[in-house]
Amino acid sequence: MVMQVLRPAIRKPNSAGLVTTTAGPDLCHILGTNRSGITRTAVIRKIIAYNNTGGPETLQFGTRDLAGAPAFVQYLPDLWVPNGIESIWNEVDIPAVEFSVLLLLLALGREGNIYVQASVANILVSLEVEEFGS
Amino acid sequence: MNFVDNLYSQGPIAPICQIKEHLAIWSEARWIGFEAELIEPIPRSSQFVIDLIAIAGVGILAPIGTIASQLIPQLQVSANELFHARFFVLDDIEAQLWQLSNMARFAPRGGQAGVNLFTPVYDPWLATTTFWVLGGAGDKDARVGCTNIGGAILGQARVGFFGYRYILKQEPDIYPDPKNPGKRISIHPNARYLPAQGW
Repeated sequence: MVMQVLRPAIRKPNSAGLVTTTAGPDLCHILGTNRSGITRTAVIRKIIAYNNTGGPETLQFGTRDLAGAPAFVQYLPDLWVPNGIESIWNEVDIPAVEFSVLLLLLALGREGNIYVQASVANILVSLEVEEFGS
Repeated sequence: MNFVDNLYSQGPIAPICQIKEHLAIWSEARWIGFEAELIEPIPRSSQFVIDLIAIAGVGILAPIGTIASQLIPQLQVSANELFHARFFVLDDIEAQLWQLSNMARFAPRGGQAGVNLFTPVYDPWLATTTFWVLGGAGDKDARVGCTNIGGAILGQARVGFFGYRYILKQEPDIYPDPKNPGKRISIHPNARYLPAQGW
């Protein structure tokens, strides 16, 4: 028998709302933090993106490391976003990669907040996330 | 008819007594005897959902931002009335309760618990959010504050209340005191004891 531990969670839109991509990683979602300073974790459950930039592009989802000049760390494989049509990924399509704070120093640490890095500016991105914690 | 067999039993909220039954309520540092004259349900409704951001007049609440305890007019009752309430939140906040001149409630020594969106996940009937407001002399009003525990800026921080309102009649000292033969007290031998705002 497999015991499944109940992990209560809440669904919510990404905290940054509708994100228009730029050249760099763009913040999509800040993890919730409880009154004890403990941060929740989150899994992306839905992605919708619209690309009207003139050609097919890619999106990368990930977080940033905790180095002095934080660098993007990719968590999901590149997602292909064709031009002129909305791209939608649902829960069944997205692996349950958990975005979580990892308080190690420098490049080994992870900020945990969800970022999108697009291959081009001006792609519109919106997420639904499931947050675990308190 | 179902009753709450213990004040904080798990399950849907229900009156703690019948009309004409007796209560002993701790208030002003002593047990006071009452008889229930009327019990009125206060269903979950929009009137009893309040926005702490609007009450505090702060406009928005940033992540980890806090609203200090606010007096909630909807929780005020008249003298000889008791509000038996449970509460919930609608936004990604943690709401905390203060009573008796800003004494923290749900607060063991190590900290003050609150109610957030996860509370009904663990406690679907919100039984652990039960509290009491007894009207009358002294500062017995309830105050609620909150902290934004989500990652987003909030425009609303909503808290809702539901339960029962009891109209009570304070009883004279006509019942025998089991600990002091010959003395009369206001507490009926079958009274149900409850803490009201707490100690």
